[in-house]
Amino acid sequence: MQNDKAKVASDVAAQKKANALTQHFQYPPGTAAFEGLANCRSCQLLSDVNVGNCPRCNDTLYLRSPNSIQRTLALIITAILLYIPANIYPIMTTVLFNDKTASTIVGGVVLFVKSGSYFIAAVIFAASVLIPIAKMLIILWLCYATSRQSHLSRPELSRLYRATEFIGKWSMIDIFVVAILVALVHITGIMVVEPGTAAQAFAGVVILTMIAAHQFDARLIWDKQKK
Amino acid sequence: MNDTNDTSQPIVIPKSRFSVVWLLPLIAVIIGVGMVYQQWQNKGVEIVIVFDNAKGLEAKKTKVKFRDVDIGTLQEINFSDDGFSIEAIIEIDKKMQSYLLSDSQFWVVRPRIGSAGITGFGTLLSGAYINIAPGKSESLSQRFVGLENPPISTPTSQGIKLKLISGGGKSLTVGNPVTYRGFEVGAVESVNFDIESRQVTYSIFIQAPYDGLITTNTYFWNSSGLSFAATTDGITIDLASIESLLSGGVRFDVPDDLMLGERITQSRDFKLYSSRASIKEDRVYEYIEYVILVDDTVGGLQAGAPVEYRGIRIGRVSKPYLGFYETNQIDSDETRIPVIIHLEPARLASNNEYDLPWFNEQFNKWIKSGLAARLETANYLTGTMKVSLDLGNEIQPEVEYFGKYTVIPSAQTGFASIVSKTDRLLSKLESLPLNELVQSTNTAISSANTAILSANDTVIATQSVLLSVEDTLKEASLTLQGMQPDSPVYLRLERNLAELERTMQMMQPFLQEIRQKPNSLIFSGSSPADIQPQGKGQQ
Repeated sequence: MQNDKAKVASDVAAQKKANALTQHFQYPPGTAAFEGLANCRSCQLLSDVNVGNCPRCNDTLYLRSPNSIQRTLALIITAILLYIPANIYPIMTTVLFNDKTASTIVGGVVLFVKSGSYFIAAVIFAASVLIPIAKMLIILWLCYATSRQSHLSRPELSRLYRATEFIGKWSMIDIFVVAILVALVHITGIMVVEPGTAAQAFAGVVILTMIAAHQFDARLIWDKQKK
Repeated sequence: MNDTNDTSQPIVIPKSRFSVVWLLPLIAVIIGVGMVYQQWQNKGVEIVIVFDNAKGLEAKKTKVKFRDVDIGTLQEINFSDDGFSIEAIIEIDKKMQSYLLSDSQFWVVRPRIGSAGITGFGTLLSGAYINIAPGKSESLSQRFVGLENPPISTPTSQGIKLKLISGGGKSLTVGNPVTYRGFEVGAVESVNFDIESRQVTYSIFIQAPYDGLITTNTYFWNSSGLSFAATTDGITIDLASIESLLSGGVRFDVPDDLMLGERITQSRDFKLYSSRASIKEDRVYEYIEYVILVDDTVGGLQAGAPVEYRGIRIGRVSKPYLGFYETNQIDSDETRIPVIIHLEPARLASNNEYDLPWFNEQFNKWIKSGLAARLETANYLTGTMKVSLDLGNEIQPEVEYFGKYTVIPSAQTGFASIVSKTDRLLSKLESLPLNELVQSTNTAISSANTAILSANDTVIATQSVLLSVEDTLKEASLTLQGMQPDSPVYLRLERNLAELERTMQMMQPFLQEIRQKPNSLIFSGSSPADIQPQGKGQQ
């Protein structure tokens, strides 16, 4: 992925260089980009984008992260794809006296609700269903909003973005619960907890949404709010 | 970032290129599609098994196993259309499809406690599962009827299936062992009652290689529990294994007096005898019926009692008594008791090769030459009787018939004759004039009594005589005391005797003279000169 990134980066950089002199005029006034100043992605040094490379760390300079939305979209679509097996397959298999019980995420929630543990059910539901779905939807919306007109103001979109970054990590709670149970409950012959296929898929969902959120260049929000 | 138009300057707008990162969702899609395809590819075959009940079955959980390997999962449990049974919808792995033959058997394995111990113990914790025994049919099937109990034999098991027919009550249950000399070689597979013939039929399965033990001359008997029999052979206690004591079982063997016979390869029917002893009794032979007209009692003679010829068993008693009515039908004047016996030539032929008409003819010949039957006690303890045949009767010119039966003349010997002899002896004793004898003896005794009384008087008289004799003797004794050697009388007597002797000596010459010359007393003559001793010197 790093190689891809580098390759993409160098390709884009070549193009950017060709248009560097005129490119910055697309950006709305009041932004650094409009002034032709770019923030180094590695060391945050603000320098003229026409220099090409950061004078301090020699990283390629961009006014905006190249193909940010495409990457974000690709990652989110992958995450959405992974979210399907994460819900179909069992996340955890409990073997109690040779009696195998496989439970999916939603199945687990239903089970806890039935047994009266509403709090645990709520936590699992929030962490495994609400948060990932919300996060993926928000990022999709942000991608849409940055490429089209949006009725939402810049601060509102920014708040949404920050919210996704904040809540995203809590989705990992599910994976931790499974990992801890698998490690702790392993009394062969009596009770064994085994991770299911969904656990891996779900971990993939969480990680991919985190990377996607990271890949989204928040400055794009401001660019589109010029009018 | 694509539509920035500046009319003043031609700007080369970079075409928005697809980022390589799009490979990621592509890979995800490919993997996803691959998984779905694999899932679809591996989707098993759906079959339906009809069970009586769904005890222990759980949708999505209950496995179908073949040799303890999971080959499928129960998907759904539905009621059948009529509602009397359930339909288990099961998905079987695709690669196990070839096992779903139309005669494959399915049954639920759950813990069972039976005579053979506890089975399916593992399912206590793991839950029940459905077991499959593949058949050997050619055609595949999708709908099966599940068995309620594990089958004793599966279509592919090696062995032989036999049917046992028993006229008695149900004494065996499915799973009871079939043993041969203590080896468990098979089991009872099913028990049915045939309403038409009113017989219990047991289907049994003998595992290979023991199926080779089943021959045409094999006899099966019920070894249920303990059998205790008092027969002509004495008291027999027969006990199979403890297991069969508790729950019953079937045993089989070839009777000692039979050849092994031919091995059986096809399923066939056998009679199930109630006990080992009853094989001997009830075994069906070809037979010829004869009758013995018995003068005296037939007590102790039972149906099935042996008929022997000089100790060799040749038949059995069919009816110890023909029946009053039947007897009268044949001959109303007959007072003897007709005993119907069966002579079974097969017992005499070691190889089951015999000729019934020939035997009949031969037997008639023997009857003519003096064959006779008699009742004998076979067992003094139980008092059972048997029929014994022997030659030695008077030769008969013609064979007699009693109704349709050929008569074997009866002879009286053995116990029956002892009884009759004793009887005669007793009646003779009875006819003796014992009373008179006793009376005369009585008078004799009383006269003897008087004689004894008078004798008594005599004895008393004799006693007094004896007393006086005693006195006399005492006196004599006293008298004789005076005659003792040192008594004066004795001495005197001795002296007198010595004197007498002397006198006699002195008288001797005188007496000699008188002897020579008796007249010398009167005529005193000269006495002859004394004879002088003459010697040669003096003359």
